Amino acid sequence: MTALTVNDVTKVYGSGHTAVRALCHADLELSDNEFLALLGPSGSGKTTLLSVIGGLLSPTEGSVTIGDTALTELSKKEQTRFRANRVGFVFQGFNLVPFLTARENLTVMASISDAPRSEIEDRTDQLLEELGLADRHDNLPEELSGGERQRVAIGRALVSDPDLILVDEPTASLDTELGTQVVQLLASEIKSRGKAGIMVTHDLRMVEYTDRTVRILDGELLDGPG
Amino acid sequence: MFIALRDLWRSKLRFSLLAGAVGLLIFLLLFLNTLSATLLGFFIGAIENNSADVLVYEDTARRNLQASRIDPSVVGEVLTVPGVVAAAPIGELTLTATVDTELTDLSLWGVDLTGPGRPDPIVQGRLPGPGEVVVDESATAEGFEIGETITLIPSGTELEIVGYVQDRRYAVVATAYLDFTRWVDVFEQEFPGSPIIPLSLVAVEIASDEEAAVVGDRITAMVAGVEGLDRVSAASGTPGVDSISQSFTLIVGITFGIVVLVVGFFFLILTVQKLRSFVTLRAVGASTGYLAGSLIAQIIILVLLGSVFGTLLLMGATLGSNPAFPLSVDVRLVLTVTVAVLVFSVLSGLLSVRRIARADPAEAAQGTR
Ligand SMILES: Nc1ncnc2c1ncn2[C@@H]1O[C@H](COP(=O)(O)OP(=O)(O)OP(=O)(O)O)[C@@H](O)[C@H]1O
Ligand SMILES: [Mg+2]
Repeated sequence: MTALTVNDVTKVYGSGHTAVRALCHADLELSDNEFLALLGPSGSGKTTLLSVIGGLLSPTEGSVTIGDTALTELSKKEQTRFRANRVGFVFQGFNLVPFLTARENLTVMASISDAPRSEIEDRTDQLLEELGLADRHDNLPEELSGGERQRVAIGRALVSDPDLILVDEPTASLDTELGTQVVQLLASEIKSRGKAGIMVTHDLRMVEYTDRTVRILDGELLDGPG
Repeated sequence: MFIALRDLWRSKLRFSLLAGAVGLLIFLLLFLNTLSATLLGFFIGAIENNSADVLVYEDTARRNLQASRIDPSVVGEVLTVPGVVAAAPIGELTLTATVDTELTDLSLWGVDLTGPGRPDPIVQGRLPGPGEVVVDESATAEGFEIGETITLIPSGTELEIVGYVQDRRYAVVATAYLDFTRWVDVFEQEFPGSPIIPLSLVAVEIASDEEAAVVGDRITAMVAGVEGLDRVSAASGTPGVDSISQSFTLIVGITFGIVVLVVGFFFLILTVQKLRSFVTLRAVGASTGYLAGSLIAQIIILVLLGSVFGTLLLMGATLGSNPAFPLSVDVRLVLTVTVAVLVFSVLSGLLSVRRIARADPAEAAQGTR
């Protein structure tokens, strides 16, 4: 089954002579249970691509289909709901809610997604355990280390049991050892739960944990490890 | 609700301080209203809480009791108006008097002790006999206490205080009530040789199936030279009442506006500070409605806390209440003020809701930019 289809997506920021073409006729397919690495230099359009795939940004041209839902056909409101239930996002800057504890940053999804609270609570406990945060669950983000925050962000992306997980530079602010740990963990979460996932990275060493690599340069996708 | 309560809990100090500030302002609102009720009561309590249903004024007096002069024969004419069950004269005289050797002003009311306009209920003591009066309890502040003797000036007539009524003060001076025929005697002693002794008002009791305003209009129409008014219109029509209530309305209105703006701006500041969290939550799929609901829930909790605090302060302030300056907690006032502050604070919260609605979830993806 195809988990994701990106069809001829172009994204232009702004207009006139300040316009920036961040994505240029991008095509991409991802099947279930596939973990893809997206590699590219800074400013090449990696975050933009993830944002378009996750329904945070509307493409200027082209379409995105996740599972059997044509995301780009949905209204803003429906896209929001779709994100809540079907897409898990790990942002480049963690983006935890500072007034919620590690555990609450996961359980808040019970108020946001349509999943029953009990299911979210169960999965939260399980995820905190798997992510090695069991004894840090009552701490606020400001009391956590960078790696711990990163893991909480991964937990939040997984807790509502989405079909597609989008991870933006999970290792940027981590040292190699911790970075490897986090990526391994992510890979095993995606594999064991049968999800599809895309991970943006600069770091070639992380590629070995993924199934496939796609490169991006100036908004254009190039298949293969090149 | 989840994030609303968590956020409140994690910023206890900040929200307590705001609830405190809102509480103080709500207290101010409640206290100003209570104060204005007490002051107006001092001014027109004798009219507003009169035992008569309808009060009849001279039509050229413009609802000013002290300018109203009615011929005694009018009482009989009023009695013939349909719907009128009883009518009795009221005479009012503002004099200087001494009580306990102190010189003070005194509003002396002559009324039918058993008819409409009677001082009822007597909260302490008994109805006055010859040479006796009952006073409004607030006059105890000026030394008018049961057992004391009032000496009228210049005649030297002596009247003993034998009872109290409540909320029957007039024109902000000590007010005393005695039988109408004794009042006529006092009038003659104070103004010897006066050819006629005019009444100030006629007090009317109406049939139980009639409405005071309707009977009042009927009296106006059927009896020449007078105007019949129900108590509330008579009280609010008294010259000066309007400007007093308007001044208070203005102060209360400004205070009200300040409460609402404080709440509105505070939440706007909080919203701007938390915008990054809102953007994140929008990005992971929270609807604007959910976030707006959380914000509104916080406002409601905050205003309710403030209202409880303000009411407690008001209760504290009314501990200082005494007969000379009665202050009481009016539950209806507390509820009205709370609901009004609530509604307008929620409206002012829409400023923040708009800010949340404009938050672009795509910003969450662009790192710390
Ligand atoms: N909101 C925006 N308005 C205008 N231009 C933008 C906006 N966001 C991104 N861009 C531009 O689009 C291009 C792609 O940006 P994007 O954030 O997708 O890059 P990236 O590959 O994620 O880079 P990095 O590795 O530094 O995170 C860049 O040239 C960037 O300056
Ligand atoms: Mg990026």
